[in-house]
Amino acid sequence: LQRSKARADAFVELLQPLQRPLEVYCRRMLHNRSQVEDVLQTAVARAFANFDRYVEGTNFKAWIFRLVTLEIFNRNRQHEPLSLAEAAADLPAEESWELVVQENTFAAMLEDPDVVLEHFDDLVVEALERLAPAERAVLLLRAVGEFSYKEIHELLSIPLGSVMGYLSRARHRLRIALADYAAERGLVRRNLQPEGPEA
Amino acid sequence: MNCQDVRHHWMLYLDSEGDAELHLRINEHLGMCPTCAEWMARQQRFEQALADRLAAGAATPELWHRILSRACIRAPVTRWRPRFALVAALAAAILLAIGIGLRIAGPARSSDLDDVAADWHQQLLQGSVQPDLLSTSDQEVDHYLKKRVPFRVHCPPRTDVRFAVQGAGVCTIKDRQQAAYIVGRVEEAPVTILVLDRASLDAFPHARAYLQGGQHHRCHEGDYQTVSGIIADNVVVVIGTAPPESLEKLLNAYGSYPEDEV
Repeated sequence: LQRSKARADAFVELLQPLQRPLEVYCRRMLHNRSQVEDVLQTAVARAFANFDRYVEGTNFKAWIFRLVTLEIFNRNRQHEPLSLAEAAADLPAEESWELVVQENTFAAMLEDPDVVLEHFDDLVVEALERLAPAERAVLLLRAVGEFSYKEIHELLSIPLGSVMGYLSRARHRLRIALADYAAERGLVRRNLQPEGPEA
Repeated sequence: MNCQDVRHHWMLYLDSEGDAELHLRINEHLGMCPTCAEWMARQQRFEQALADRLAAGAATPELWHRILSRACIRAPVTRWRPRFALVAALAAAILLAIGIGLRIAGPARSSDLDDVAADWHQQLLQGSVQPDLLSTSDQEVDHYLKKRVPFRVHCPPRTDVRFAVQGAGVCTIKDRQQAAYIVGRVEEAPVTILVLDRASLDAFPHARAYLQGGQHHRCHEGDYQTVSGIIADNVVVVIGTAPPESLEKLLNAYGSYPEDEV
């Protein structure tokens, strides 16, 4: 009984600091937000059931985020019929991950991001839902989970190049969505003069 | 490395990815090219602000308690048996009566937000944090804060409640919540006014429980008194060694300037 309690205590100790980012990640990732508790419940129960296999000092955070991500993909399937592996294969090989920032589109927004971002909550759900599933996962794993590219590559079992590709495209698409949103509402004026780099 | 190379690798640079040599070469270029340095700073500002907003939000303790209980990791919440209900109700009534008595007789318990406010006030008093702006002008402080926080803030309390403003700044507190603070004195006692977006209350479940009914909350926090409340779009905590009545007046005066006077 004592060993079982010690096991539970060790699990909770590792889980506790991750509760907030896991819950935020789930809320942002799920199409149906009423499933947040179910998803976390399933992932936590699975992690605890397999906790004997967890090796102290290894990446518990990446492990639990992976379980949560797999469950989210499973739940989102009715909205996004791709599995994670299929979504990962969806990235065109020829697409560069180094998308160039389009100054003419974003200049005004970059000048004063808070003007746009203070309205962000109105837009975030819509803009995130427009991203491809893997783009959304990579973006949120980076922003909410603060994972490195390599950790995301291991966590999602996708190539490192795909991680960079998804992240770059997700950021680019969010910028476009925010810039459109800001311009439509007159929060910023579109700058039509491109600002090219000095070669 | 030229400007185009730098702008090609901006993401690796800002995410602290890529090899050390890449970072070294980009740093060298940014040191020599003010245009690129400004360009990179703009990308960084935007991406950081975006990431902060994506990551914002609090955990729900009740949800996690249920999850851990159902997974048999933590003991479930005890369900009261019906035959104990009457006894429990009587006990609750007695506790409530004691609680009301205590609230009348003395200060209430501090909340999670009071703790944060006290910590910040202490740091300001000790000088380990300096206000970003030093000014004795209400209007200057008002303009300064309005430009720097992503939520609506109001002017410092008027001088007719004997608050002498001395400065202001912006800080990040629990769960990356951005807050504004105003420092000043009431009857020579230093006072800090911490101002948060009303939505930030979600990150402070204890304070939310005290404040969401619209009432003000007073308590002792170490050597300090705090008074907090929801004023328009803000959650405001006034903290200092001044009597609670003076702090309450400050709280009531916060945002009392008509906006067009400022």
